[in-house]
Parts: sequence; structure tokens; C-alpha cells
Amino acid sequence: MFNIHKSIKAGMTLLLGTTLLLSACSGSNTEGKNGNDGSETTGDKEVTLRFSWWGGESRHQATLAAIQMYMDEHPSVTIEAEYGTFDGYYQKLQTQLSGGTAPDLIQLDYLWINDLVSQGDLFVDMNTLGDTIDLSEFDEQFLKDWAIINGKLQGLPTGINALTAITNKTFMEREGLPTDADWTWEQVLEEGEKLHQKNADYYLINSDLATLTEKIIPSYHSQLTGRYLVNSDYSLGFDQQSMTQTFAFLQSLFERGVLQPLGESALYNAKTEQNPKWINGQTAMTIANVTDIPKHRGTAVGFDIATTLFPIKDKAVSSGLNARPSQLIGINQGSKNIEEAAKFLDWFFTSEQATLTLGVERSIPVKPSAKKLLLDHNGLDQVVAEALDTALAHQDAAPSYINNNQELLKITNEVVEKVAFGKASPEAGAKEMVERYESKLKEIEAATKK
Amino acid sequence: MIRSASIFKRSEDRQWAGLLYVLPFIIGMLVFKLYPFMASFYYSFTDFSLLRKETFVGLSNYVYMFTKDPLFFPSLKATFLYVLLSVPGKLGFALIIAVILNMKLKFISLYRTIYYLPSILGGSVAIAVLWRSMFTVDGIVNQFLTSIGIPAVNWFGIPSLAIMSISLLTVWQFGSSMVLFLAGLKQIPKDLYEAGTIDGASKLRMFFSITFPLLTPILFFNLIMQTVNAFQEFTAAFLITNGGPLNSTYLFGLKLYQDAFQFSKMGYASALSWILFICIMLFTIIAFKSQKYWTHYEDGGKF
Repeated sequence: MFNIHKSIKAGMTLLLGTTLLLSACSGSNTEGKNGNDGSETTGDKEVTLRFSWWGGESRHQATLAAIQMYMDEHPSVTIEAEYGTFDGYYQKLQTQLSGGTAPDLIQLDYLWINDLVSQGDLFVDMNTLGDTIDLSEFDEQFLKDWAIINGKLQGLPTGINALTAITNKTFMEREGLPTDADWTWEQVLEEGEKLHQKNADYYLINSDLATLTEKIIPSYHSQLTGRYLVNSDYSLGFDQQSMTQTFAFLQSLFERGVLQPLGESALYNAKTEQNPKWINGQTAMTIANVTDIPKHRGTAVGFDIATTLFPIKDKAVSSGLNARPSQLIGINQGSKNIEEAAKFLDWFFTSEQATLTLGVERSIPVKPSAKKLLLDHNGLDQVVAEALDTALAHQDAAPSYINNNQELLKITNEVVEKVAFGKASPEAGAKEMVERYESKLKEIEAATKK
Repeated sequence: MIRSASIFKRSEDRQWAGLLYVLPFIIGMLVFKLYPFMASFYYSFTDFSLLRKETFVGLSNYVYMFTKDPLFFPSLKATFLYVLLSVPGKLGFALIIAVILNMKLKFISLYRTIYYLPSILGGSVAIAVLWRSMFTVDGIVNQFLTSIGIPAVNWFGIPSLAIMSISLLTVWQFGSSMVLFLAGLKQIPKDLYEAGTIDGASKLRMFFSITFPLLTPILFFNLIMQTVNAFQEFTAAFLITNGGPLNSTYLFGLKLYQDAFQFSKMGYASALSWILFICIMLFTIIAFKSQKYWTHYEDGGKF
């Protein structure tokens, strides 16, 4: 009697706490157990395949059209498309793989592959499907660098991607910036400082934190030393000295007004094409991937775009540039229709129809014959093709898979931010990088060897 | 004798019938609340990635967060700061608006509806995105400020300001607290104010001597609810700033999410969520203990 009030209150509290708290952590096992509902597989009749990808509207339309063509040709096969934007795709994919509800065909980012397959056998080794999928035209070294992990070909690259600098041609010509020669970082600093002094609203390079972390810092370090941040044996590719030099370069990019302060570009992080500096034509170039060109063209209203080689420092040991896959497509190890999925994938990569329909929606195809076909049919975007050719002409060794670890990237992000905001000197930043990378690499190595 | 026995039996039947009615709730509670709750407790003692089977590691997740994780304390600090900024702001704002909307004005129902709108929209992704574009360097807020002579502010670009800008979004969603305050205001007997008027008390005096004391139970309820929500805030930090700049808005909810779904460390994230749970629990206990010093129940707090 006397304590009813109290206990109701206590009960309420407990409930409130519990209810809302655990929603973030309950995703793993709540979904159904048996996905892949293409259960009527017996006797090669009526097969349902699920295919998931991310992309923009034009990629969706092209892929859907290609799928429709395949289904018209193969009436017994139904392909269910699961598509959306990049946001949240990886998180969803992980829960699907964990719950056994992942699609049969999965578009993957090469950045995730190592993190994923270090947790288990998730994708079918494409080399075992050699009878179904024609692998002859895929460049062996390219596959080895980006798609073969633990000796297994985890997925097939949909296109070739590389770093580039997308330029605002109109702006550069007006401001008298050189458009015909390749840029060096020294030149970038010099011209960038002049440009910003001339007009405080102008920045030579449109960049953001993600670009610095994933593109500029690793490439510059590679140009400086010939090594990326992590070697394939989990050892550090940098030391106190080389990282101090890299961060000193980073600091001068901001101090000399080459880059917009991070505080201002932060809201457009990973969306450089939406930065008003780019849209309003107050910047000369955006450091980006070749696959980002269509997006940046889309928001380039009232000016012409071109591309130029990603800047390389004077006396560089290496170019810091390499060809990488735009995405990979893998076959789910848990799929009940691996054979049918492989057949579709072969068609997807080989048939003339598919190649022409898909165009360069996933960048320029890896296979020389597919590229030639597009060229013959005027299906190659000139700007994209040129950007890629320029980058590939300077191609150097690829970084090891471990460089793509999400936790390491987060560390780089944080330290780069500190240096960029002036909260840490290049020396202090380098020290933090060395310490945190070393301890995280130990963790990663230990986890991988389990 | 027989008659009374049969009545007894029937009323017992009814008790079971009652249970049947609440069965959907009980099942939901067990499956969607209690099971995940217990599971996360278990996982917090394991090394569990999404795709690998868990292995029991004892307390090492908890040890790791206190000794090794460089982001644990900054994230906790950001979360407490966020709670301290957003909850009082929200409750204060809700109370002021509720008092205004309690006056006899024309179209008062319309105003009430309008002021409640942000709360309906508030948790949604679209509003967070809208908020972001409003507060950019050349966004509408800064355009307004410069037009009245105040220099533009980089709302999300300066670490100390970013957390305030995010809190502001929460403060703006004051609707649900406001409605509760409004209901509380309606229940205050008119004769108290009449007596106050006869005694010559000022409006302000009446607010602090009559309105506020009688509203304290509602205030208490709102405080608990809003604080529990604020501790778990995720959307704004995730969508607007993604934790930056310099981790100033790296709220605990966001950290949990990144560890779980980006870094595949489910076991560790479960352990983190229990720390959050303990924080919320501690706060709630303190709030309940302090209640007797500042809340006023007409019935003495008993049913």
C-alpha cells in the first residue's frame, strides 16, 4: 500500500532507461534467419536473385534497364533490385550479412573488403567460377592489388577509378592560372597564396576533411617517401619525421590560404560538389576521384569543367597515384543460387548490350574490350576518359589493404583536424599519429589473426 | 456456499482474461525490450563483431574504454555538456511558451497547434538537414544577423559553438514538454489566483508563489523524460556535424553507432551502451532523491 507510488515510479524509470537505450545495439540478431528466398531452385527453373547497389539516379536507371534486358532474355530468372544512396549502405549490409539476409549480388566498396572478410568467408571466390565468368580480360595485377584477399577473388571491379583534380576552367582562365601543365604542390602553395591575397573569397583548392584524410595526406606522404601510411605487414609506413613534414605541408595549405578553413567546409564534408565555393565559382579545383566528375559537373552551373593531374610534389619519390576499382561486385557466399548469380554477372560484364546500357555509370570498364566498345559507340565521357588516362600514365604501386581500415581512417581524421585547426603543431600531430597508429595496428593485427 | 464459490471462480477467470488483453504488450516487451536488454548485457562481456561469433572476454571491454579508448571521455564530456545545455533551455522555453499560450487570446488553439509542430517534425532527418542549411556560413540565420548589423557566425565550424547550435535544435523541439506544462497550468485552481489578486500580489509574485510550485510535478516529469532523451541524442550530431569539429559534438550515441556499425565492434558498443545506461540511471536516482526538496504534490505525493 504505502510503497505503491514509489515502486511505480521506480518501474517507470527502469522502463524509460531500458526502452530507449538499447535500440542502437539490438540490430544484429533480430532480423529473420533464412534470407535468400529463391527457394525454388531445383531444376534450373524460376530463380530469384537479389542485387543491391548504391548510386545516383542515373546509375539506378541504367542498372534497372540492364536487369530488365537480362530478365527478358532469361524468363526463368527474376532479379530483385535493392538500391539507394551510399549513406547507410555499409551499415545495412553488415546487419544483412550478419543476419543471413544479404542479397545474392552485392556491390561493394574496396575500402570495406578487408574489414569484412577478416571476419569470415563472406563472398564466393570468383576464381572458382572461372567456367561461368570470363575473367580473361581482367588485369591480374589490378585484381591482386584490390580484390584478392586471403588468396580469394572477393569480387569483380566494375570500373577503374583514380585521383584527379577537377578544374573550373572558366575561373582558371580568367584568373590567369596555368591550365595546360601539371601542377606541383609547391606551385599549388605559391599560386594559392597569391589567389587568396587577391581575393579573400577565393581558394585555389576546394577540399574537405575526408579529401585530406583519404586522398591528400596519404598521397603526399607517398610522394615524399615512396610509402603509404601502413605496410602490408601491419608496420608503420611513416615515422615521426616524415609525418611532421607531411603535417607541415598540411599546415601551410591552410596558413597560406590555399584551402578554405575546415570549420567552413565541414558542413560539406564528403560532399565537395555542394560547397558554395565550387558552385559559385570561387575555387579553381576540387581534389576528387574520377568517378566524382559527373556529380561535380552537375553542380557546376555557368562554368566549364576540365581535369588535370592530381598535384605531385617536386622531386617526388613516387606519384602517390594508382588505379583503383570504382566498386566491386561480389557474390554472397550464403546465396542459394551462386551459379545463376555468376551467369548474370558474366552477362553484366561481358555482353555488348549490358556494357552499352551501363555505360560509364560505374566509371570506365576494366575490360579493354568493353572500353573499346563504348568508345566506338561514343559512350565514353571525354572528360572522364581523359582524367583517367592522365592519372594512369603516372600510376605507381597500390597501398596495402590495411590502409583502408575504418578505425585508422578515423584516427587520421582526428589528427588532421587538430593540425588544421591549429590545435596541434605538425610535430605534436606526428607524435600522436605514430602512437595511435601503432597501438591500433596491434589491435587490428591481433583481431585478424584470430 | 455454492453460489459464492462460483462467483469466486468467475472472478478468477476474469483475471486471466485481463492477462490475455495485455499479452501483446507482454510479448512485445519480452521480445523487443527484455531480450535485447539481456543480450546486450551478455555481449558487453564479449568480443563480438557483427559477422563473427562472440568470444567471452570478461571485463576487458570496460577496461579498454577507461584506459585505452581516447574518445571515451571526450565523448562523455560532450554528451554531458549537451544535456546541460539542451535540457534546461528546452524546459525553460517550453514553460514560457506554455504560460503565454495559457492566456485568453484569439485563435489560441491555432497558436498551440503551430507551436507544437516542431516537435512532430523535430526528430526527423529532414529537419536536421534543414537546420544544417539554415546555419551555414551564408545561410538564412546569418543573412538575418548581418541584415541587423551583427557579423555572421560560423555556427557549426567553431567547436564550442557547434555543440550549442546542436542543442538549439533540441530546444526548438519544445512542443511535447509545452503541452504537458499547458495541461498542468489548466489544472491550477482559479481561486488561488483570485485570492492572490485580493491580497494584492503582482503577476510575477503569483507566478512564483502559485503557478511554479503547483507545476513542479510536471516539471519533474519533463526533466526526467527530456534528460533521458538528451543522453541518447543521435540524429542531430550524426546528420549535421558527424561529431565534428574536433569531436566537439561527438555525442555518446554517435560513438556507440560508429563503434557498432562502422567498426563492427558490437561487444564493445554494448559495453558502451551500459555505461550510458548507468549514467541515465544515476541521474534518475539523484533526481528522485532530490524530489522531496523541490516538488510539491497537492496530495503529498501519494496515490
